[in-house]
Amino acid sequence: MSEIILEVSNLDVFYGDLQAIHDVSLKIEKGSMVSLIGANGAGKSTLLTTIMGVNKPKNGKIFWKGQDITGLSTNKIVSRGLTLTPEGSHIFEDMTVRENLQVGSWTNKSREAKADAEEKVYDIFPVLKEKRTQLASFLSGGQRQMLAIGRAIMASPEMIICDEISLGLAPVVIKDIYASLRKICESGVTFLLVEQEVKRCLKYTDYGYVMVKGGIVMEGKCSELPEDKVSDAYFGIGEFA
Amino acid sequence: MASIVQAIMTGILLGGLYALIGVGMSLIFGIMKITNIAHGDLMILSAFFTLMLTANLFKSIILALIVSIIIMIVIGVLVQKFLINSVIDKGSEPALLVTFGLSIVLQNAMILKFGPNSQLISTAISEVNIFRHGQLSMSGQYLLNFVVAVVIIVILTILINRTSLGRGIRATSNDVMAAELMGINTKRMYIIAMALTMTATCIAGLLVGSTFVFYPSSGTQYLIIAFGVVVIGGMGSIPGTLIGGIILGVTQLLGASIFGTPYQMLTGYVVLLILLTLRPQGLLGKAKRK
Repeated sequence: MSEIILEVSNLDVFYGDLQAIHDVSLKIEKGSMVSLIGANGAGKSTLLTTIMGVNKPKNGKIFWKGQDITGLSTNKIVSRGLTLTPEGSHIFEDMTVRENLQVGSWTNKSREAKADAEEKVYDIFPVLKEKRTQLASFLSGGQRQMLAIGRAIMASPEMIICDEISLGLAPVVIKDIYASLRKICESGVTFLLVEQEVKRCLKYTDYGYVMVKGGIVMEGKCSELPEDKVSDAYFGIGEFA
Repeated sequence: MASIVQAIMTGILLGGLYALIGVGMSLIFGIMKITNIAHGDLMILSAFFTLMLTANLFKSIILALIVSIIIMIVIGVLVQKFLINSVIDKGSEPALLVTFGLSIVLQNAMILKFGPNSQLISTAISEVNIFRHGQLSMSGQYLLNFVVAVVIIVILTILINRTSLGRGIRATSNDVMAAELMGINTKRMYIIAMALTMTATCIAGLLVGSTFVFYPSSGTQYLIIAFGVVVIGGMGSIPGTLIGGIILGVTQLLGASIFGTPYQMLTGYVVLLILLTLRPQGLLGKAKRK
Protein backbone atom coordinates (compact mmCIF):
# COMPACT_ATOMS: atom_id res chain seq x y z
CA MET A 1 0.00 0.00 0.00
CA SER A 2 1.55 3.25 -1.07
CA GLU A 3 1.20 6.67 0.52
CA ILE A 4 -2.26 8.20 0.99
CA ILE A 5 -2.31 11.66 -0.57
CA LEU A 6 -5.90 12.72 0.15
CA GLU A 7 -8.10 11.40 2.91
CA VAL A 8 -11.67 12.40 3.63
CA SER A 9 -13.04 11.04 6.89
CA ASN A 10 -16.68 10.89 7.99
CA LEU A 11 -17.74 14.07 6.19
CA ASP A 12 -21.23 15.54 6.72
CA VAL A 13 -22.24 18.58 4.66
CA PHE A 14 -25.50 20.50 5.00
CA TYR A 15 -27.24 23.15 2.90
CA GLY A 16 -29.36 24.74 5.61
CA ASP A 17 -31.36 21.84 7.08
CA LEU A 18 -30.81 19.60 4.09
CA GLN A 19 -28.01 17.10 4.44
CA ALA A 20 -26.23 16.73 1.09
CA ILE A 21 -23.37 14.48 2.19
CA HIS A 22 -23.75 11.63 4.69
CA ASP A 23 -20.69 10.29 6.48
CA VAL A 24 -18.45 10.09 3.42
CA SER A 25 -14.92 8.68 3.69
CA LEU A 26 -12.37 8.36 0.90
CA LYS A 27 -8.71 7.44 0.73
CA ILE A 28 -6.75 8.20 -2.40
CA GLU A 29 -3.33 6.73 -3.06
CA LYS A 30 -0.56 8.88 -4.49
CA GLY A 31 -0.09 8.39 -8.22
CA SER A 32 -3.37 6.60 -8.78
CA MET A 33 -6.33 7.45 -10.98
CA VAL A 34 -9.52 7.20 -8.98
CA SER A 35 -13.09 7.67 -10.13
CA LEU A 36 -16.12 8.87 -8.25
CA ILE A 37 -19.24 7.67 -10.01
CA GLY A 38 -22.74 8.90 -9.36
CA ALA A 39 -25.91 10.19 -11.01
CA ASN A 40 -27.05 13.80 -11.01
CA GLY A 41 -27.81 14.97 -7.49
CA ALA A 42 -25.80 12.23 -5.79
CA GLY A 43 -23.70 14.87 -4.05
CA LYS A 44 -20.51 14.54 -6.09
CA SER A 45 -20.06 18.24 -6.77
CA THR A 46 -20.86 19.12 -3.15
CA LEU A 47 -18.20 16.68 -2.01
CA LEU A 48 -15.66 18.27 -4.35
CA THR A 49 -16.46 21.86 -3.45
CA THR A 50 -16.18 20.85 0.22
CA ILE A 51 -12.77 19.28 -0.33
CA MET A 52 -11.69 22.47 -2.13
CA GLY A 53 -12.84 24.70 0.72
CA VAL A 54 -15.84 26.34 -0.98
CA ASN A 55 -18.36 24.72 1.40
CA LYS A 56 -17.63 24.10 5.05
CA PRO A 57 -18.45 20.61 6.43
CA LYS A 58 -20.51 20.25 9.60
CA ASN A 59 -18.64 17.15 10.76
CA GLY A 60 -15.61 15.31 9.54
CA LYS A 61 -12.11 16.14 8.42
CA ILE A 62 -10.13 16.41 5.19
CA PHE A 63 -6.43 15.52 5.23
CA TRP A 64 -4.00 16.47 2.49
CA LYS A 65 -0.69 14.60 2.74
CA GLY A 66 -1.44 13.95 6.40
CA GLN A 67 -2.24 17.58 7.24
CA ASP A 68 -5.70 18.78 8.20
CA ILE A 69 -6.96 21.20 5.51
CA THR A 70 -10.61 21.33 6.63
CA GLY A 71 -11.88 24.89 6.47
CA LEU A 72 -8.88 26.40 4.63
CA SER A 73 -9.72 28.87 1.87
CA THR A 74 -9.61 27.62 -1.72
CA ASN A 75 -6.55 29.57 -2.77
CA LYS A 76 -4.56 28.19 0.18
CA ILE A 77 -5.52 24.60 -0.67
CA VAL A 78 -4.52 25.15 -4.29
CA SER A 79 -1.14 26.55 -3.31
CA ARG A 80 -0.50 23.33 -1.37
CA GLY A 81 -0.74 21.31 -4.59
CA LEU A 82 -4.35 20.14 -4.82
CA THR A 83 -6.45 21.61 -7.61
CA LEU A 84 -9.77 21.15 -9.36
CA THR A 85 -10.97 21.59 -12.91
CA PRO A 86 -14.56 22.66 -12.34
CA GLU A 87 -17.60 21.32 -14.14
CA GLY A 88 -18.15 23.28 -17.36
CA SER A 89 -14.41 24.13 -17.56
CA HIS A 90 -14.74 27.74 -16.27
CA ILE A 91 -11.91 29.00 -18.46
CA PHE A 92 -11.31 32.76 -18.50
CA GLU A 93 -13.22 33.64 -21.65
CA ASP A 94 -12.05 37.24 -21.94
CA MET A 95 -8.40 36.20 -21.92
CA THR A 96 -6.25 34.48 -24.53
CA VAL A 97 -5.35 30.80 -24.31
CA ARG A 98 -1.82 31.68 -23.27
CA GLU A 99 -3.02 34.15 -20.64
CA ASN A 100 -5.26 31.42 -19.21
CA LEU A 101 -2.22 29.21 -18.84
CA GLN A 102 -0.19 32.04 -17.33
CA VAL A 103 -2.87 32.62 -14.70
CA GLY A 104 -2.77 28.88 -14.04
CA SER A 105 0.84 29.21 -12.94
CA TRP A 106 -0.05 31.91 -10.39
CA THR A 107 1.25 29.87 -7.44
CA ASN A 108 4.33 28.80 -9.40
CA LYS A 109 6.80 31.57 -8.65
CA SER A 110 9.91 30.54 -10.59
CA ARG A 111 10.13 31.69 -14.18
CA GLU A 112 11.75 28.44 -15.29
CA ALA A 113 9.08 26.27 -13.70
CA LYS A 114 6.47 28.36 -15.52
CA ALA A 115 8.16 27.95 -18.88
CA ASP A 116 8.62 24.20 -18.32
CA ALA A 117 4.99 23.75 -17.35
CA GLU A 118 3.88 25.69 -20.43
CA GLU A 119 6.00 23.44 -22.67
CA LYS A 120 4.54 20.37 -20.97
CA VAL A 121 1.00 21.58 -21.63
CA TYR A 122 1.73 22.27 -25.32
CA ASP A 123 3.34 18.85 -25.52
CA ILE A 124 0.20 17.12 -24.23
CA PHE A 125 -2.27 19.36 -26.07
CA PRO A 126 -0.61 20.65 -29.27
CA VAL A 127 -3.85 22.37 -30.33
CA LEU A 128 -3.44 24.83 -27.44
CA LYS A 129 -0.08 25.90 -28.83
CA GLU A 130 -1.68 26.59 -32.21
CA LYS A 131 -4.40 28.69 -30.61
CA ARG A 132 -2.36 30.34 -27.89
CA THR A 133 -2.94 33.91 -29.07
CA GLN A 134 -6.70 33.45 -29.55
CA LEU A 135 -9.35 34.40 -27.04
CA ALA A 136 -10.42 31.38 -25.00
CA SER A 137 -14.08 32.07 -25.82
CA PHE A 138 -13.41 30.89 -29.40
CA LEU A 139 -12.41 27.36 -28.32
CA SER A 140 -14.60 24.31 -28.93
CA GLY A 141 -15.97 22.22 -26.06
CA GLY A 142 -13.14 19.69 -26.15
CA GLN A 143 -10.51 22.41 -26.43
CA ARG A 144 -12.04 24.17 -23.44
CA GLN A 145 -11.58 21.06 -21.33
CA MET A 146 -8.02 20.70 -22.62
CA LEU A 147 -7.36 24.30 -21.62
CA ALA A 148 -8.91 23.72 -18.19
CA ILE A 149 -6.68 20.68 -17.65
CA GLY A 150 -3.65 22.49 -19.06
CA ARG A 151 -4.33 25.47 -16.80
CA ALA A 152 -4.45 23.09 -13.83
CA ILE A 153 -1.11 21.51 -14.83
CA MET A 154 0.51 24.97 -14.94
CA ALA A 155 0.52 25.08 -11.15
CA SER A 156 2.54 21.81 -11.09
CA PRO A 157 -0.05 20.23 -8.77
CA GLU A 158 0.36 16.85 -7.08
CA MET A 159 -3.29 16.02 -7.53
CA ILE A 160 -6.02 17.18 -9.91
CA ILE A 161 -9.72 16.62 -9.33
CA CYS A 162 -11.71 16.72 -12.59
CA ASP A 163 -15.42 17.42 -12.30
CA GLU A 164 -17.25 15.86 -15.26
CA ILE A 165 -14.71 16.66 -17.93
CA SER A 166 -16.49 14.49 -20.49
CA LEU A 167 -19.82 16.29 -20.17
CA GLY A 168 -21.17 17.21 -23.60
CA LEU A 169 -18.13 16.01 -25.54
CA ALA A 170 -17.99 13.67 -28.52
CA PRO A 171 -16.78 10.11 -27.70
CA VAL A 172 -13.59 10.47 -29.80
CA VAL A 173 -12.67 13.66 -27.98
CA ILE A 174 -13.33 12.00 -24.61
CA LYS A 175 -11.05 9.14 -25.58
CA ASP A 176 -8.27 11.59 -26.46
CA ILE A 177 -8.67 13.49 -23.22
CA TYR A 178 -8.61 10.31 -21.14
CA ALA A 179 -5.45 9.19 -22.91
CA SER A 180 -3.84 12.54 -22.06
CA LEU A 181 -4.92 12.22 -18.43
CA ARG A 182 -3.26 8.82 -18.25
CA LYS A 183 -0.08 10.38 -19.63
CA ILE A 184 -0.17 13.13 -17.02
CA CYS A 185 -0.90 10.54 -14.32
CA GLU A 186 2.15 8.55 -15.35
CA SER A 187 4.28 11.66 -14.81
CA GLY A 188 3.31 11.45 -11.13
CA VAL A 189 0.06 13.41 -10.78
CA THR A 190 -2.80 11.80 -8.84
CA PHE A 191 -6.29 12.09 -10.34
CA LEU A 192 -9.80 11.96 -8.96
CA LEU A 193 -12.25 11.85 -11.86
CA VAL A 194 -15.87 12.55 -11.19
CA GLU A 195 -18.10 11.02 -13.81
CA GLN A 196 -21.61 9.91 -14.57
CA GLU A 197 -20.67 7.14 -16.95
CA VAL A 198 -20.01 3.80 -15.28
CA LYS A 199 -18.43 1.89 -18.14
CA ARG A 200 -15.87 4.53 -18.99
CA CYS A 201 -14.78 4.94 -15.38
CA LEU A 202 -14.31 1.23 -14.83
CA LYS A 203 -12.33 1.01 -18.04
CA TYR A 204 -9.98 3.95 -17.57
CA THR A 205 -9.37 4.28 -13.82
CA ASP A 206 -7.70 2.17 -11.14
CA TYR A 207 -10.07 2.49 -8.22
CA GLY A 208 -13.71 3.50 -8.03
CA TYR A 209 -16.17 4.93 -5.53
CA VAL A 210 -19.91 4.87 -6.20
CA MET A 211 -21.96 7.63 -4.65
CA VAL A 212 -25.74 7.53 -4.19
CA LYS A 213 -27.91 10.03 -2.31
CA GLY A 214 -24.99 11.70 -0.58
CA GLY A 215 -23.24 8.56 0.64
CA ILE A 216 -20.62 6.12 -0.67
CA VAL A 217 -22.34 2.78 -1.32
CA MET A 218 -19.60 0.82 -3.02
CA GLU A 219 -15.86 1.00 -3.62
CA GLY A 220 -13.11 -1.18 -4.97
CA LYS A 221 -10.51 -1.75 -7.65
CA CYS A 222 -12.10 -1.04 -11.02
CA SER A 223 -10.98 -4.41 -12.38
CA GLU A 224 -12.85 -6.12 -9.55
CA LEU A 225 -16.01 -4.00 -9.43
CA PRO A 226 -18.86 -5.83 -11.17
CA GLU A 227 -20.35 -3.51 -13.78
CA ASP A 228 -23.93 -4.65 -13.29
CA LYS A 229 -23.76 -4.06 -9.56
CA VAL A 230 -22.26 -0.60 -10.04
CA SER A 231 -25.09 0.14 -12.47
CA ASP A 232 -27.67 -1.04 -9.94
CA ALA A 233 -26.14 1.21 -7.32
CA TYR A 234 -26.02 4.09 -9.79
CA PHE A 235 -29.70 3.81 -10.63
CA GLY A 236 -30.69 2.88 -7.07
CA ILE A 237 -32.25 -0.45 -8.01
CA GLY A 238 -31.83 -4.06 -6.80
CA GLU A 239 -30.17 -4.23 -3.40
CA PHE A 240 -29.53 -0.46 -3.47
CA ALA A 241 -33.19 0.51 -3.80
CA MET B 1 -16.50 79.48 -36.24
CA ALA B 2 -13.75 80.33 -33.79
CA SER B 3 -16.09 79.55 -30.93
CA ILE B 4 -16.78 76.07 -32.36
CA VAL B 5 -13.05 75.36 -32.70
CA GLN B 6 -12.55 76.67 -29.17
CA ALA B 7 -15.37 74.46 -27.87
CA ILE B 8 -13.95 71.33 -29.51
CA MET B 9 -10.43 72.04 -28.31
CA THR B 10 -11.44 72.82 -24.73
CA GLY B 11 -13.91 69.94 -24.83
CA ILE B 12 -11.18 67.45 -25.67
CA LEU B 13 -9.00 68.76 -22.84
CA LEU B 14 -11.93 68.77 -20.42
CA GLY B 15 -12.73 65.24 -21.61
CA GLY B 16 -9.35 64.10 -20.37
CA LEU B 17 -10.24 65.29 -16.88
CA TYR B 18 -13.65 63.63 -17.14
CA ALA B 19 -11.93 60.38 -18.15
CA LEU B 20 -9.69 60.53 -15.10
CA ILE B 21 -12.76 61.11 -12.91
CA GLY B 22 -14.44 58.09 -14.47
CA VAL B 23 -11.52 55.67 -14.67
CA GLY B 24 -11.68 54.66 -10.99
CA MET B 25 -15.36 53.95 -11.26
CA SER B 26 -14.77 51.88 -14.37
CA LEU B 27 -12.04 49.85 -12.64
CA ILE B 28 -14.26 49.08 -9.66
CA PHE B 29 -17.15 48.17 -11.92
CA GLY B 30 -15.04 46.08 -14.27
CA ILE B 31 -13.39 44.11 -11.51
CA MET B 32 -15.99 43.85 -8.75
CA LYS B 33 -19.20 44.51 -10.72
CA ILE B 34 -20.00 47.17 -8.15
CA THR B 35 -21.31 50.65 -8.90
CA ASN B 36 -19.54 52.84 -6.38
CA ILE B 37 -22.03 55.62 -5.52
CA ALA B 38 -19.45 57.16 -3.17
CA HIS B 39 -16.93 57.61 -6.01
CA GLY B 40 -17.49 61.37 -6.40
CA ASP B 41 -17.44 61.97 -2.65
CA LEU B 42 -14.20 60.05 -2.24
CA MET B 43 -12.69 62.25 -4.94
CA ILE B 44 -13.87 65.46 -3.25
CA LEU B 45 -12.59 64.12 0.09
CA SER B 46 -9.17 63.63 -1.49
CA ALA B 47 -9.29 67.19 -2.84
CA PHE B 48 -9.96 68.48 0.69
CA PHE B 49 -7.03 66.44 2.04
CA THR B 50 -4.68 67.80 -0.61
CA LEU B 51 -5.94 71.36 0.03
CA MET B 52 -5.49 71.08 3.80
CA LEU B 53 -2.07 69.48 3.51
CA THR B 54 -0.78 72.17 1.11
CA ALA B 55 -2.22 74.97 3.24
CA ASN B 56 -1.02 73.72 6.62
CA LEU B 57 1.83 71.27 6.35
CA PHE B 58 3.69 71.20 3.09
CA LYS B 59 4.79 73.86 0.67
CA SER B 60 4.95 71.44 -2.22
CA ILE B 61 1.68 70.40 -3.79
CA ILE B 62 3.23 67.18 -5.11
CA LEU B 63 4.23 66.16 -1.58
CA ALA B 64 0.70 66.96 -0.36
CA LEU B 65 -0.71 64.86 -3.21
CA ILE B 66 1.49 61.88 -2.33
CA VAL B 67 0.47 62.03 1.33
CA SER B 68 -3.21 62.33 0.47
CA ILE B 69 -2.88 59.40 -1.97
CA ILE B 70 -1.53 57.33 0.94
CA ILE B 71 -4.38 58.46 3.22
CA MET B 72 -6.96 57.70 0.50
CA ILE B 73 -5.47 54.25 -0.16
CA VAL B 74 -5.75 53.48 3.56
CA ILE B 75 -9.38 54.68 3.58
CA GLY B 76 -10.13 52.75 0.37
CA VAL B 77 -8.57 49.54 1.67
CA LEU B 78 -10.45 49.82 4.97
CA VAL B 79 -13.73 50.43 3.13
CA GLN B 80 -12.99 47.47 0.87
CA LYS B 81 -11.88 45.10 3.62
CA PHE B 82 -14.48 45.86 6.25
CA LEU B 83 -17.49 47.09 4.29
CA ILE B 84 -17.51 45.83 0.71
CA ASN B 85 -15.69 42.48 1.05
CA SER B 86 -18.07 41.45 3.80
CA VAL B 87 -21.14 41.83 1.56
CA ILE B 88 -19.73 41.19 -1.93
CA ASP B 89 -20.50 37.46 -1.86
CA LYS B 90 -24.18 38.27 -1.43
CA GLY B 91 -24.43 39.92 -4.86
CA SER B 92 -24.02 43.47 -6.13
CA GLU B 93 -27.10 45.09 -4.50
CA PRO B 94 -25.89 45.01 -0.86
CA ALA B 95 -22.56 46.47 -1.99
CA LEU B 96 -24.39 49.20 -3.92
CA LEU B 97 -26.29 50.12 -0.76
CA VAL B 98 -23.08 50.14 1.26
CA THR B 99 -21.51 52.66 -1.14
CA PHE B 100 -24.72 54.72 -1.09
CA GLY B 101 -24.56 54.88 2.70
CA LEU B 102 -20.88 55.73 2.53
CA SER B 103 -21.67 58.62 0.19
CA ILE B 104 -24.13 60.15 2.68
CA VAL B 105 -21.72 59.70 5.58
CA LEU B 106 -18.81 61.24 3.63
CA GLN B 107 -20.80 64.29 2.46
CA ASN B 108 -21.97 65.09 5.97
CA ALA B 109 -18.61 64.41 7.56
CA MET B 110 -17.01 66.82 5.08
CA ILE B 111 -19.57 69.55 5.90
CA LEU B 112 -18.83 69.09 9.61
CA LYS B 113 -15.08 69.08 9.19
CA PHE B 114 -14.45 71.53 6.38
CA GLY B 115 -17.58 73.72 6.44
CA PRO B 116 -20.03 74.32 3.59
CA ASN B 117 -17.98 77.01 1.80
CA SER B 118 -16.44 76.77 -1.64
CA GLN B 119 -12.79 75.91 -1.93
CA LEU B 120 -10.16 76.03 -4.66
CA ILE B 121 -6.68 74.55 -4.71
CA SER B 122 -4.55 77.30 -6.23
CA THR B 123 -1.54 76.16 -8.17
CA ALA B 124 1.09 77.99 -10.16
CA ILE B 125 -0.34 76.62 -13.38
CA SER B 126 -4.00 77.67 -12.86
CA GLU B 127 -3.41 81.18 -14.20
CA VAL B 128 -1.10 80.31 -17.10
CA ASN B 129 -2.30 80.46 -20.68
CA ILE B 130 -0.45 78.21 -23.10
CA PHE B 131 -1.46 80.46 -25.96
CA ARG B 132 -3.91 83.17 -26.82
CA HIS B 133 -4.54 83.93 -30.46
CA GLY B 134 -7.46 86.14 -31.37
CA GLN B 135 -10.51 84.46 -29.91
CA LEU B 136 -8.69 81.17 -29.29
CA SER B 137 -6.90 80.32 -26.09
CA MET B 138 -5.74 77.27 -24.22
CA SER B 139 -5.50 77.15 -20.45
CA GLY B 140 -2.42 75.61 -18.87
CA GLN B 141 -4.54 73.89 -16.23
CA TYR B 142 -6.74 72.19 -18.86
CA LEU B 143 -3.71 71.02 -20.82
CA LEU B 144 -2.10 69.66 -17.63
CA ASN B 145 -5.34 67.85 -16.75
CA PHE B 146 -5.44 66.22 -20.17
CA VAL B 147 -1.79 65.14 -20.19
CA VAL B 148 -1.96 63.69 -16.67
CA ALA B 149 -5.19 61.85 -17.49
CA VAL B 150 -3.75 60.27 -20.62
CA VAL B 151 -0.58 59.21 -18.78
CA ILE B 152 -2.55 57.62 -15.91
CA ILE B 153 -4.91 55.82 -18.28
CA VAL B 154 -2.03 54.46 -20.36
CA ILE B 155 -0.24 53.24 -17.21
CA LEU B 156 -3.41 51.56 -15.91
CA THR B 157 -4.06 49.92 -19.29
CA ILE B 158 -0.55 48.48 -19.43
CA LEU B 159 -0.77 47.33 -15.81
CA ILE B 160 -4.06 45.53 -16.35
CA ASN B 161 -3.31 44.05 -19.78
CA ARG B 162 0.39 43.29 -19.70
CA THR B 163 1.48 42.34 -16.20
CA SER B 164 1.06 39.23 -14.08
CA LEU B 165 -0.81 41.21 -11.43
CA GLY B 166 -3.12 42.53 -14.14
CA ARG B 167 -3.83 38.99 -15.33
CA GLY B 168 -4.75 38.04 -11.77
CA ILE B 169 -7.11 41.00 -11.55
CA ARG B 170 -8.69 40.18 -14.92
CA ALA B 171 -9.05 36.50 -14.03
CA THR B 172 -10.81 37.52 -10.81
CA SER B 173 -13.16 39.82 -12.70
CA ASN B 174 -13.81 37.10 -15.29
CA ASP B 175 -14.62 34.18 -12.97
CA VAL B 176 -14.13 34.42 -9.21
CA MET B 177 -14.38 30.71 -8.49
CA ALA B 178 -11.94 29.72 -11.24
CA ALA B 179 -9.53 32.43 -10.07
CA GLU B 180 -9.61 31.01 -6.53
CA LEU B 181 -8.93 27.59 -8.05
CA MET B 182 -5.78 29.03 -9.65
CA GLY B 183 -4.60 29.92 -6.14
CA ILE B 184 -5.45 33.62 -6.49
CA ASN B 185 -6.58 35.32 -3.30
CA THR B 186 -9.49 37.11 -4.97
CA LYS B 187 -10.32 39.33 -1.99
CA ARG B 188 -6.74 40.60 -2.08
CA MET B 189 -7.17 41.37 -5.79
CA TYR B 190 -10.19 43.50 -4.85
CA ILE B 191 -8.09 45.37 -2.29
CA ILE B 192 -5.35 46.00 -4.86
CA ALA B 193 -7.94 47.21 -7.37
CA MET B 194 -9.32 49.56 -4.71
CA ALA B 195 -5.83 50.94 -4.04
CA LEU B 196 -5.30 51.58 -7.78
CA THR B 197 -8.70 53.26 -7.96
CA MET B 198 -7.92 55.46 -4.98
CA THR B 199 -4.63 56.58 -6.53
CA ALA B 200 -6.33 57.59 -9.78
CA THR B 201 -9.22 59.21 -7.90
CA CYS B 202 -6.88 61.21 -5.67
CA ILE B 203 -5.03 62.60 -8.68
CA ALA B 204 -8.39 63.42 -10.27
CA GLY B 205 -9.37 65.15 -7.03
CA LEU B 206 -6.35 67.47 -7.13
CA LEU B 207 -6.94 68.36 -10.78
CA VAL B 208 -10.67 68.93 -10.29
CA GLY B 209 -10.01 70.95 -7.15
CA SER B 210 -7.52 73.20 -8.91
CA THR B 211 -9.69 73.63 -12.04
CA PHE B 212 -13.12 74.26 -10.47
CA VAL B 213 -14.33 75.41 -7.07
CA PHE B 214 -15.68 72.57 -4.96
CA TYR B 215 -17.95 72.06 -1.94
CA PRO B 216 -18.44 69.09 0.39
CA SER B 217 -21.53 68.26 -1.66
CA SER B 218 -19.83 68.45 -5.09
CA GLY B 219 -19.31 64.68 -5.16
CA THR B 220 -22.73 63.96 -6.64
CA GLN B 221 -22.10 66.24 -9.61
CA TYR B 222 -18.86 64.39 -10.42
CA LEU B 223 -20.49 61.02 -9.82
CA ILE B 224 -22.90 61.86 -12.64
CA ILE B 225 -20.00 62.82 -14.90
CA ALA B 226 -18.23 59.55 -14.02
CA PHE B 227 -21.42 57.65 -14.87
CA GLY B 228 -21.61 59.38 -18.25
CA VAL B 229 -17.98 58.65 -19.05
CA VAL B 230 -18.18 55.01 -18.03
CA VAL B 231 -21.46 54.34 -19.81
CA ILE B 232 -20.33 55.97 -23.08
CA GLY B 233 -16.90 54.33 -23.01
CA GLY B 234 -18.13 50.93 -21.93
CA MET B 235 -18.45 49.68 -18.36
CA GLY B 236 -15.13 48.24 -17.25
CA SER B 237 -13.08 49.38 -20.26
CA ILE B 238 -10.16 51.57 -19.18
CA PRO B 239 -9.22 52.95 -22.64
CA GLY B 240 -12.98 53.44 -23.13
CA THR B 241 -13.06 56.05 -20.37
CA LEU B 242 -10.76 58.29 -22.40
CA ILE B 243 -13.09 58.10 -25.40
CA GLY B 244 -16.14 58.47 -23.17
CA GLY B 245 -14.64 61.49 -21.43
CA ILE B 246 -13.74 63.23 -24.67
CA ILE B 247 -17.18 62.63 -26.21
CA LEU B 248 -18.90 63.94 -23.10
CA GLY B 249 -16.57 66.96 -22.83
CA VAL B 250 -16.83 67.94 -26.49
CA THR B 251 -20.62 67.55 -26.71
CA GLN B 252 -21.12 69.55 -23.52
CA LEU B 253 -19.02 72.46 -24.71
CA LEU B 254 -20.41 72.33 -28.26
CA GLY B 255 -23.90 72.38 -26.76
CA ALA B 256 -22.95 75.37 -24.64
CA SER B 257 -21.46 77.26 -27.57
CA ILE B 258 -24.35 76.54 -29.98
CA PHE B 259 -27.40 76.64 -27.67
CA GLY B 260 -26.00 78.63 -24.75
CA THR B 261 -24.46 77.69 -21.42
CA PRO B 262 -27.67 76.45 -19.74
CA TYR B 263 -27.80 73.62 -22.29
CA GLN B 264 -24.28 72.38 -21.55
CA MET B 265 -25.27 69.47 -19.30
CA LEU B 266 -28.40 68.71 -21.33
CA THR B 267 -26.60 68.22 -24.67
CA GLY B 268 -23.98 66.02 -23.01
CA TYR B 269 -26.57 63.69 -21.63
CA VAL B 270 -28.78 63.69 -24.72
CA VAL B 271 -25.77 62.38 -26.63
CA LEU B 272 -25.28 59.84 -23.84
CA LEU B 273 -28.86 58.64 -24.31
CA ILE B 274 -28.45 58.38 -28.09
CA LEU B 275 -25.24 56.35 -27.73
CA LEU B 276 -26.87 54.16 -25.13
CA THR B 277 -29.70 53.36 -27.53
CA LEU B 278 -27.35 52.58 -30.41
CA ARG B 279 -24.72 50.70 -28.42
CA PRO B 280 -25.92 49.75 -24.93
CA GLN B 281 -22.65 48.11 -23.93
CA GLY B 282 -20.73 51.35 -24.56
CA LEU B 283 -18.25 52.08 -27.34
CA LEU B 284 -15.46 49.78 -26.12
CA GLY B 285 -17.58 47.60 -23.85
CA LYS B 286 -18.12 43.92 -24.51
CA ALA B 287 -21.61 42.76 -25.34
CA LYS B 288 -23.01 40.38 -22.74
CA ARG B 289 -22.87 36.77 -23.79
CA LYS B 290 -25.49 34.05 -23.17
